[in-house]
Amino acid sequence: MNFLIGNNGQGKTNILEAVYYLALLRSFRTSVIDDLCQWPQNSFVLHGLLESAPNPPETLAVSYGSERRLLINDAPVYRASDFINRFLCVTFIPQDMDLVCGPPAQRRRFLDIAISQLDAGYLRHLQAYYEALKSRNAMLKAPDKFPPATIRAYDQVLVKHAVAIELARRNFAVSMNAILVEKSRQLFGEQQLVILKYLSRLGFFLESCEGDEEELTKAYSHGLQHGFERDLKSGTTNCGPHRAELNCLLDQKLLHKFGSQGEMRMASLAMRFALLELIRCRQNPDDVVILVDDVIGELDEQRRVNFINELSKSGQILFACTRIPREFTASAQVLKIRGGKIED
Amino acid sequence: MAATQYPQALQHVMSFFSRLPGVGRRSAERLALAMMAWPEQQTEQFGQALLELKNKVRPCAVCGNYAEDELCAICQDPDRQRGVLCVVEQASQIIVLENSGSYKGLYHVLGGKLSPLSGKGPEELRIKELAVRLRQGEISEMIIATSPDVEGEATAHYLAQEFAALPMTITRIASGVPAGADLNFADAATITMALSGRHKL
Ligand SMILES: [Zn+2]
Repeated sequence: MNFLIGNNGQGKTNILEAVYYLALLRSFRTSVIDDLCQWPQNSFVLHGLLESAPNPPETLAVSYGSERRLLINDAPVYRASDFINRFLCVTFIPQDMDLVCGPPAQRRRFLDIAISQLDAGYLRHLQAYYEALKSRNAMLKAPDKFPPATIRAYDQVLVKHAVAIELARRNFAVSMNAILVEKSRQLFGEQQLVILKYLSRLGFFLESCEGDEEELTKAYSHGLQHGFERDLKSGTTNCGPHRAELNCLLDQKLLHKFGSQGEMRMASLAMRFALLELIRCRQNPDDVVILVDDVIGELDEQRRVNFINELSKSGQILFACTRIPREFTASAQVLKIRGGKIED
Repeated sequence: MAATQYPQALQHVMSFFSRLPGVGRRSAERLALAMMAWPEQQTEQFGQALLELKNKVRPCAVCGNYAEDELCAICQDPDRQRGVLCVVEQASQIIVLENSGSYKGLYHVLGGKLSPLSGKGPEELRIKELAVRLRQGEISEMIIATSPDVEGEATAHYLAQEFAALPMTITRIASGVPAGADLNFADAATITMALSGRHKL
C-alpha cells in the first residue's frame, strides 16, 4: 500500500495517469495526447521499472514527440500490443462510472481493456478486426476500385476475428456475473443483484444467437451478406462487435437509463472489484497495480472498511487522497505530493 | 551569415541516399562522406553498377521475378516442377523461399497485396497475368504465400475465390511463419515447416 498524499491540483492524478499509460498506452482522462503533455511542451517521456519476482526486473519507457517510441529494457518495440499489459492496471477512479453509464463506446472500451488483461491473444484479434473493418469501410466507399469480391475476401478475415471477439466477450460476461453475485451483496446488501449483459448487435440475425464458434461464423457471414446493400449505401459496416452493447443491470433495471447516481457508483465499484478478482484468479495476483483516486468519500464507514480490506489482498496499490483514511490501520508507505513532485 | 553547407555534388549524393528506406539525414551524410574516401576506381565501378541495375535487371515476363533475360532463371530451369505455383507478394521473397531449398516449383509475384487503406485494389496487382498462367491448365496446385497479416490473409481469400472454379488444388502456407512475421525475415527451417504444413483453402 502506497499513499500519495497532497492537496488537490498538486499532481496526484498525473502520477496515477502515468502509471496507467505505461500499462495500457492510453489515458483514463483524455483521448487527446496534447492534454497529457506539460504545457507549453508538446511531448512527454515516461520511464518505469517493473519488478515482479521471479522474473528479472524490466524497464518500460515511452516517449512521445513527433512520434511515439516504445522501449522495453532499452530495446525498441514496434507493436503496441507487445508493450501493453506488461503489468496489469486496475483503476478505482471517478471515471469508472463511465463503464456503467457512459456512451456505448466507453462501455465497450472497459470490456476490451478488461479482456485484454485476462487474455493476451484478445488484443491481436481486436486490432486485426479493426484493421479489417477500416479496410472494409474504405472499400465500401470506393466500389469502382474494389468489386464485391474483394469485400467478400475481407469479410472472411473480418468474421474470423469478430467471432473470436464475440466468444471472448460472452465468456467474460459469464465469469463476471458469477463473481458479481457476491460483490453486489457486499455493496448493495442482501437483496440486490448487479449483472452485466452483453448484446452482440451483430444485426438481427445474431441478437439471440447463442451458438458455438461454427454457428457464430455462419450467422455472422450471413449477416454481413444480408446487410451488404445497406452497407454500400451508407459507406460503412453496420453490424459487428464494434456495435455491440454492454449493459449493467441492477435487479433487471438498466442502470444507464434508470439508475440513480448512487446506484451507478456502487455498480461501477462492484464491476471493478469483480474484475480485480477475475484478474487475481487468472494471473499472478502480485502483478496487479491498483490505482485509487478520489472514490471512497462517497462510501459509508462499513463500506470503506470493506473497500480497503478487499484492495489490500494482493498487488501494489497507489492510493491518492488528501489524507490517509481513518479506516486504514495497517502500515503503508506515504509519499507527499506537492507542485507535481514527490517530496522526500 | 548563411550556414556553411557541403559542396553541391556531395549534397546531391546525400539527397539520393536519404531517399532509401531506413536512411535518415544523418546516415545519408555519413554514407556520402564515406564514399568521398573511396579510391576513384571504386566510385567509378559503383556508378557503373548503378547504371547496369536498370539496364540488366528487369521483371521476368512470366512470373515477375528479377531476371536478366526475358525470363528469369527459375522459369528457364527445365528441372523445376511445372505443375506447382507459389504466389508471393514481392520478388525479394522468392530468394528467401529458394534459400530454404524445400521448394522446386514455379513462382508468381503479385507486386503487393490488396490494401484498401492505401488504395491498392486487384487491378494494381499482377492478378490478370496470374489468371492467364492458370488458365493454360498446366498448374495443378497453387500455393498462396502472402503474409499472415490482415491484408495478406484477405488477398489469399480473394485469390482462392477468384480461381475456385479451376481444376486445381489451392493451398495456403501454414502459419509456421509466426503470426505477424514477415516472410522476408523467416529462417529456412520455418519456411520448410510452413510449406510442408500448408492447408487447403
Ligand atoms: Zn520467371
